[in-house]
Amino acid sequence: MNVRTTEDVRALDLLGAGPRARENLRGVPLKPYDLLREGIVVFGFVLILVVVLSIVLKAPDYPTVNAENVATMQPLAFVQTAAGILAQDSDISAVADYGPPYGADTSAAEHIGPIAPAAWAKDIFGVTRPIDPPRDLIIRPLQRAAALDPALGLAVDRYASATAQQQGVWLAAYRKALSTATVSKGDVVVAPGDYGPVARMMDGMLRLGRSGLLEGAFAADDNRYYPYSFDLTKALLFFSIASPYTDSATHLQQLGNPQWGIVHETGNYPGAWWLDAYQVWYEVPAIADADNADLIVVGIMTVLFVVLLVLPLIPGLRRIPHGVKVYRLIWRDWYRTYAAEARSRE
Amino acid sequence: MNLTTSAQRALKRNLTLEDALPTRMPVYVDSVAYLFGATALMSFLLLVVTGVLLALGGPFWYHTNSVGRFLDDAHFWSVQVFFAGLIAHLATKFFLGAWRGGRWATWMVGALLFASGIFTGLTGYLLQTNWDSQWIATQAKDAMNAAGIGAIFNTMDVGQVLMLHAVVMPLVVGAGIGVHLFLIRRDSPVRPYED
Repeated sequence: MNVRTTEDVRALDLLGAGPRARENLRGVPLKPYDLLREGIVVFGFVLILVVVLSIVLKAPDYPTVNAENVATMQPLAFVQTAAGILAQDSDISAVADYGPPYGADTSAAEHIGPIAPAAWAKDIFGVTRPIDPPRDLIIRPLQRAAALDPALGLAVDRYASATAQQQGVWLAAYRKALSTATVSKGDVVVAPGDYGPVARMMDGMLRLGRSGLLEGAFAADDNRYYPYSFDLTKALLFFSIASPYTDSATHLQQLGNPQWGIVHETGNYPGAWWLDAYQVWYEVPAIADADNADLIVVGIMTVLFVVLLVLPLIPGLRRIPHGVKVYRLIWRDWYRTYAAEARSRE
Repeated sequence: MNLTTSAQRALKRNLTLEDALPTRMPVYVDSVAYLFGATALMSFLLLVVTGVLLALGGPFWYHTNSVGRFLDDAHFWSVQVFFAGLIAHLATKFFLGAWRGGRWATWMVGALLFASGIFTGLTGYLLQTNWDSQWIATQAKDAMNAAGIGAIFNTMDVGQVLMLHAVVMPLVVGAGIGVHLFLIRRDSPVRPYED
């Protein structure tokens, strides 16, 4: 801040200023100012603050949870997930019955009455990320692994050529058996039963996961440009709502912070706290329990943003600052020293 | 019509040298509250600097390289300071009623910048290629898909996220900042309320 006197500010005028500034500042005393110096000082302050925080606190960078981690640490949960995806169980599979952009069926797409942006987007753009979970997340990776294990290929062929009803019977029996399964030397052991080729397939999935090759199989699928691949959709969706995904992040919980999420960074770090105003709506039970919770929250935030955007044009709301009078604190010197004089000079 | 002449006239009419690089300021601009916007702006510059340095090594090197780790840490903390400055700036301008005197466009551009900054921040969190980005990508997809945005923006496509975060959004935010600063300097700081 420049030290100034009333005489100093009277000696300055608006020479060189544009018409809008001249009009706005008519009668207002001016003070000397150095824009570049102020910018450099603020930049220096920010730079020092950031460097100190970076050196002292650093930032979090915890490794991902991948199929190899889960297959190794929680083989039973891994197999339950794979079997659930094959069975199109929407409690296990993130994309079962999801609708756009992964499938064409819009019956499960979120909507509020006639407002159905996901369905509208499908009509405009089509199904932009098509995924058939049993085929793309289970069958095709197994067919790729069958190159190293012909018996696995025979099991997949047998399953694929069976009727949907037969597949369902095998899967139901196997998934029921998983509830009493045990793990021996990393393998999942189920009681003897008629599971058709399913037990063999799930064992193949477990071994594929444990090998670290499952994500590669996803990336290579339907990709004529492989090994170039940036789209991790299948790899990330495989576990995204299944318990092993969160359970396997035990290394994070061991770090003392089991709570993470969009606004909660891992460890004791601030996350994207500026999204709190968005995230907080999910804490409202009536919203959180709704089938269309995401669309409700998106709708609320859209309305709030539009209000923020056009606030200057909304009678009543635009007068709030004048009512709460916080400005008197920020402009206290003005009201104390200059306001009366400025009025008389206009 | 000479377009260059017209551009010169428009510039002279809307932004003189004194407007763009002021050496005088109304006396009511006399509070630390006026530095919040500058804090956000300077944090943005630091984000660009650390972001460009991070970009030199690609999107993955900072996991294992100590220099890269430091730059990533600095990028992370620059984001925190950026949003602290931005939200303090937004709150201050609200309480000053800074849209008065025909400054509604400045406010609206600022609000759009706020939203653009949040989306840029989201793409940054998605680009970390670690557990946080993995978790956020699978959580955020549902809101994107519900809004129909998921048809064209996939939180799990790290290539798209990378291009948005490192190229598209910095250009959008940078251009928005340019327009915002132009309007601010053209119109000069809003006068105090007449009590």
